[in-house]
Amino acid sequence: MVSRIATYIVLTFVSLPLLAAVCLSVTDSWFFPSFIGSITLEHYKVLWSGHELAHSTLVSLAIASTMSIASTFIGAVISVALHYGRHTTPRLLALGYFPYAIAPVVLGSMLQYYFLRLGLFGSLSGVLIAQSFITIPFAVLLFSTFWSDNVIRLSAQARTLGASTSIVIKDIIFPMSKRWIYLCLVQCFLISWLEYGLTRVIGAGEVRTLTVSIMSLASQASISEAAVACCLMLLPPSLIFMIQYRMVSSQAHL
Amino acid sequence: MRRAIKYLFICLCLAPLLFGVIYSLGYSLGLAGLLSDGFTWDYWIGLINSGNLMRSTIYTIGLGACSLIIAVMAALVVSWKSGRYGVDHRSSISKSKAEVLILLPLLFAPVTAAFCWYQILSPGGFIARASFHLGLIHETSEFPRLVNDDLGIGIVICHVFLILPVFSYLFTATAHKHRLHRLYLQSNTLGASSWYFFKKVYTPMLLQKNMRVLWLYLIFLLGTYEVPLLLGGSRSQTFSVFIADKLTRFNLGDIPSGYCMAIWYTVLITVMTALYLRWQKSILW
Repeated sequence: MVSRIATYIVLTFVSLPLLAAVCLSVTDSWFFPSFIGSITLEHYKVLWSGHELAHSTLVSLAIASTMSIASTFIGAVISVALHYGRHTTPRLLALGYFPYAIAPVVLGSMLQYYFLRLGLFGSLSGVLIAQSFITIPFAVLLFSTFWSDNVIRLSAQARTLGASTSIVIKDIIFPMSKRWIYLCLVQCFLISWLEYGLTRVIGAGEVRTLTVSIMSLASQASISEAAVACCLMLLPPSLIFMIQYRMVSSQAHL
Repeated sequence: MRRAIKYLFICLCLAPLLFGVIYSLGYSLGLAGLLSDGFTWDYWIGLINSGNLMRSTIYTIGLGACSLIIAVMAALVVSWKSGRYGVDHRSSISKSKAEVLILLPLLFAPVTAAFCWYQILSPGGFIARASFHLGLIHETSEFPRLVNDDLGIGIVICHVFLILPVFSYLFTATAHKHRLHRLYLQSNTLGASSWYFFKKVYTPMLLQKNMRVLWLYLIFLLGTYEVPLLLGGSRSQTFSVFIADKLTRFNLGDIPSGYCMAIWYTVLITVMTALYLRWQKSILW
């Protein structure tokens, strides 16, 4: 009995914010004692007529996709350069933790002088460069788990049998690392999608991603619009989660 | 070529941090920036004397530790439940609906979570409205302050929400990997109660195996920004909120103290990360 109640408490706790976001995004005039205001889909409808939030969503999507593809590619190249043909993990890898551990907003605040000097402050390219300081080391760290003994020996064997480096990379390493590449694409996308502090500081409010919009809408007390933005924020991670869940459960059935 | 890429990686990891620290150090010692007129310790002394340095440090570490401890305790219970100890004899992780639901917070950005929790916990929020309808309060001012309070209750709740799924998944996986279920059956046979096993074997074992991850999360929690920005009080500020507040508002008099704090934070995080790496026996030295 007690454990059943505890389960329900935990489940309520984790689902409350989602309920709140959905409720608020479909209500109008949410005044104090009424629990739910009048229900309307107006806030979603305006998205189609070129509302500011639709623009923010596109900006966010563009930044996150660019970051995801670029960091995965650069991370993969660095990872091959660091690991290919070696059994020992390079000491260098430890360096990758430092940019990842420090709060992005502090990093951004400390670097804003340089971005100002280079004319990148408040621009899209500035935000992309700043985010890559975090995502690329992350990608390298993620790829480092790929280089198992098995992979290294297999590529060494192929080399012994006469394959050139480019063939080994194209026909052995690339097919074997597909899962890591997928994971890296997803993770880098999410890091960039969920990022607020760095984008706010380096973007200087000019680059309005969804997270930046939520914060400014929340401070202007446009609660319904902020809630719509929250629901939009939840969409891509939910989609990714559903695809991943399908993949895992379909593998389990096989 | 390979060597060049290697150096590129080193630069990519260290250069942003190094450049940031150099400029911040210069600014905080009066050597750079618009107000600079020669070397001085004044800004550092000012920051220490104002008590902000101590307050932010204690506040941030306290918040992080509280969030971590509560989340770990909750996650231990959740993983214990989902392992179905004492219910029946299955050792595999099954995926019931509840176990999928518990992963829900993973979809939330810190900003989103902070906004939603604000709407739930604020004096005009969902809980306040519900208690109004239940007759517990008669006006908003009677509702206890859970957001923008000096204790940071709202912040802790939001942090626990964000990290609970990570830890419950981690603990469930660790328990599964180390076959704690078999150990449980064995200790049961030898006469130990479920609670005794939970207290003496399950908890210590999972904590010990995951100590490094907990440490890493403490590092992340020290850098939390969005949650305290929306839910935090005005008297104490976490490192990130203090630094961003001082450095992005362009009140020229405040900038040096922001840079001092940024240096202090960076040093703290660097030491903690280095300890983590050493602990991991990974190679740094």
